[in-house]
Amino acid sequence: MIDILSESFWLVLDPLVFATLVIGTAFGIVAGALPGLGSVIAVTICLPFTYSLGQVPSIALLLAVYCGSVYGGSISAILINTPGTPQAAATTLDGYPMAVKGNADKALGWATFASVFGGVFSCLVLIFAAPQLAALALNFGPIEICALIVLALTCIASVSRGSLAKGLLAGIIGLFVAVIGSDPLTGDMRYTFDIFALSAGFDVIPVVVGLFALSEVFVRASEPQKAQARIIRYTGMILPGLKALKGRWSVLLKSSGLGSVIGVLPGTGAATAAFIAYAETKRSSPRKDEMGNGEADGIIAPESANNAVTGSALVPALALGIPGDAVTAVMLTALVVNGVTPGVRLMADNPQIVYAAFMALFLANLVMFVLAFASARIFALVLRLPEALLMMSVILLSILGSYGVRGNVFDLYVMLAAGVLGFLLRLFGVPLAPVVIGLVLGPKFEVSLRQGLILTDGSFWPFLSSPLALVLFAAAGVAIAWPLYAERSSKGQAK
Amino acid sequence: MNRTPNIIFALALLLLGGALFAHSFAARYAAMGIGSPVNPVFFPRILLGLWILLGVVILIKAIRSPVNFKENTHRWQEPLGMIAAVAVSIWAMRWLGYIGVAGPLAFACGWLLGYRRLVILIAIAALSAIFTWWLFDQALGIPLPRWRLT
Amino acid sequence: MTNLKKLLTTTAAIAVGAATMVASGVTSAMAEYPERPVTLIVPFGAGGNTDAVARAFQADFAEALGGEIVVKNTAGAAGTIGTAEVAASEADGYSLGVIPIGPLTTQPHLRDLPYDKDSWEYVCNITKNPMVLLVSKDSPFNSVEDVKTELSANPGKYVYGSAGPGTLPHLAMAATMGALDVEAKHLPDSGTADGMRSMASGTIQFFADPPLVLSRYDVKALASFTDERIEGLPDVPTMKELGHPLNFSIWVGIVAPKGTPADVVEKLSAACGEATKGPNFTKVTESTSTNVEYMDSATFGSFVDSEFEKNGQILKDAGLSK
Repeated sequence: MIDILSESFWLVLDPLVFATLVIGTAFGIVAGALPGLGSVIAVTICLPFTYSLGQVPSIALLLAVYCGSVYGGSISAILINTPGTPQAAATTLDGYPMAVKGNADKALGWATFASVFGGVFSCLVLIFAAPQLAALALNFGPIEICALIVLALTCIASVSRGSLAKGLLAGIIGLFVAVIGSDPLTGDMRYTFDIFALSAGFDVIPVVVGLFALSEVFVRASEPQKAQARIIRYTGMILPGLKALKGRWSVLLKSSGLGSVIGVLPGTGAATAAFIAYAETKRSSPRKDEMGNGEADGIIAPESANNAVTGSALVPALALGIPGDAVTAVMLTALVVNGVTPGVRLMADNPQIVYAAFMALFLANLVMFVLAFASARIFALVLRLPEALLMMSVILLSILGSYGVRGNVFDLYVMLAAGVLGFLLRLFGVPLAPVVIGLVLGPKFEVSLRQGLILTDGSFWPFLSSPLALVLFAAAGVAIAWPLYAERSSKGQAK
Repeated sequence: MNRTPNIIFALALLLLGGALFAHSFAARYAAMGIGSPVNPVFFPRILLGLWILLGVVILIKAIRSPVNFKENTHRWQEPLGMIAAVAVSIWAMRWLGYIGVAGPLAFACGWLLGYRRLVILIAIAALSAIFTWWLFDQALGIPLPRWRLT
Repeated sequence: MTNLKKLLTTTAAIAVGAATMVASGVTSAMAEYPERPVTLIVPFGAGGNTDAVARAFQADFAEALGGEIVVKNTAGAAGTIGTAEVAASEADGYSLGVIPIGPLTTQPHLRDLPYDKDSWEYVCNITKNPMVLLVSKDSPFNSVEDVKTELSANPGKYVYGSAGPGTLPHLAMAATMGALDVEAKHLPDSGTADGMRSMASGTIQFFADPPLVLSRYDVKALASFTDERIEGLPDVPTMKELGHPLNFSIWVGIVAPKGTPADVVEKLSAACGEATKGPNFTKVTESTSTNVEYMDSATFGSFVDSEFEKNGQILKDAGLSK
């Protein structure tokens, strides 16, 4: 073990690795912060470079880009209420209110600290527990995944600010939008109304970009000129002091742990981890009443969780050779081109590569920490622009990002429709975050539910015979009952 | 938001949910999913059932909420103009290409948000259109729609 | 208001000027093809198999053609969105599709699409990989005969996976179960990787895919869907030897929209042949054990025709066609 670790260490201690880490992280942060240019596009753009870089440097490059892009999404979530990537949607809930209060520098500091903490935490978990976690992932068949998603969906209730009914409806809208297109199990067309372009269904990116970024532009256009003075000004980034951290370690640890486990499981991902961590913190934090109004816990939880996923998402890819999402699929492609065969024997045949990957991820987090100061400065300059010019670039980037995902003009109409929908929902006090939760979880939810039904010949009862699924369903039941109870009792107090 | 628009919004949501639910009974879906334990509209029907239920709850809440006269300070021409500008830009992109629509769209956006320093606005609109095109099409290698009017 | 008008004209002029600069070359007559970048449309997302083939091919193809080549991903609906985009493109040789077997020969049987098999000028085939019948390495099944015996005794108990409804793994498995005259459930996943996960966790027992997966996952091959034994797998019998002449392979070829000038297609086809031997492409295909199989325009055209008929018949027999 020590031999392998030291061999990996020397592999990583290469100036080329260091250079790719710095460039990759910087590019990742920028790509993540621009609405629409998500992690997948950012990583794909870098793929051609890996053909000539060699094994470890190309892994380092892709990991740095991935890591940076997940963090970068939070910058725009905090500063302009527009998550740069879907993974950062939960960060808008408290990040933006904190920035509006004039504490953008502190909000960025919290996000940076939590992201690095989550990333480093998951690296450590990986170095010591990757094989065990991979084995855990294989316990999740369709029925268990279905139960897990039901549990994840319950966090809609926690992020429904204002009205629970409206929040739940927003979640349903998200789930329904994900249904449109061809049925993943039979290939039949549903709700396409004979429009050919709809047969592909909706991609998450154009919808999220429309809902958040474009609708933000519409909302600002609808506000009276005077109210538009809500421009966020700050000069840099302020890291939380030890005093401020006091009492928040449990939130950090719990959220990083949640992210590390959720990242390993199939069908979920960073956006889900962020929302679940937020919901859990909202349930258990001593400062839960302040959440939604710019409470630091509301930034720490999603940011440490989504960056913890960057590490654990690698577990099935490196330990089993099974990519969990598009980002890890691209990474495996890069490995293959560099002469490493991914798969079940990767860990046995090339352990030094696997551990070098974990170390590179660890270093990427440290590089990210340093670069975060620089990026905060640069974005502070960008925010000095008059609002009109800032929103102008948001519109152009929304168009580019939505088009770039699938190279399809139809996605631009989808983005516009989502923008109008987001505008209307905001106008009538319907929270947007649940729409993203529904959208992200919808496809896997339906597939796992119906795969389960195929296996059980259409009966629901066997769903409860799996102990793991039973535990998850029970937890979901509690999670549904609790906010209903809380709302009732708080109403009782108000009266 | 006042009571009446809230009621209208709730009604609209309810109607939309109802219409989508009714569509799931269209003849074409009945013949689908043979051999699979559930029909392709099985899952959407569950969702739309919940949608209608929640729509009713929201409607009742809106009706029971107190009438609350607040002066409406929202502007509506600007956001509508913005929506129209984006729509026209997407439509025209097929002929004018990305740069052809990005410049005018950026200009329209700045103007509608109240920026009135014309020379600066034009310069920035043109520059940002060209720069973003360069960034995506050239630097990042994501091909964008090109000019097709010749 | 005159100020505003003047301003709008200026803006338009700047935009038009810039756009014309970008598109320069479009206007001039086609002296020597290619005069501007040729776009290869990939109907699947970045990171997938088809995308990997196209991106590995890009540089060598560009050099052989003596022009510039851009790869564009237009993903969605089992590849039909991007394929339809190729069919609707101008037939000038500047928009080509890198299209695999599915969108060309199975999807048109499954539902109504804005294209069919007569929408193309066939340029060339690039890669072709035979499929094998797979079970988990610790599976009790060691031969196709085992499968037939066990499944005849327990109809509906076992499950085969696929990369989605109507995909090649689905077709191959449905045809196999039909040929063996046994019943099994079909559990569609959304790709080979997901299917391999289902196999590792024991949810499915059978899958079909090219032999590449043998080196990556804990799976073994029971038979190959070929006429001759696969080089490198001398111990794996063919389905034909076992009395079930089933033949499945996954191929990727280049097509141009119908009406593309014959000399352009000819030039592309020749360049394609040269590029399949190119250094970049060879490096990537060798490392992924992908079989390169070049077919020229005419051969590829008649090959697609026969595949189209064959897959149509299988889908019809499986009760899947529209």
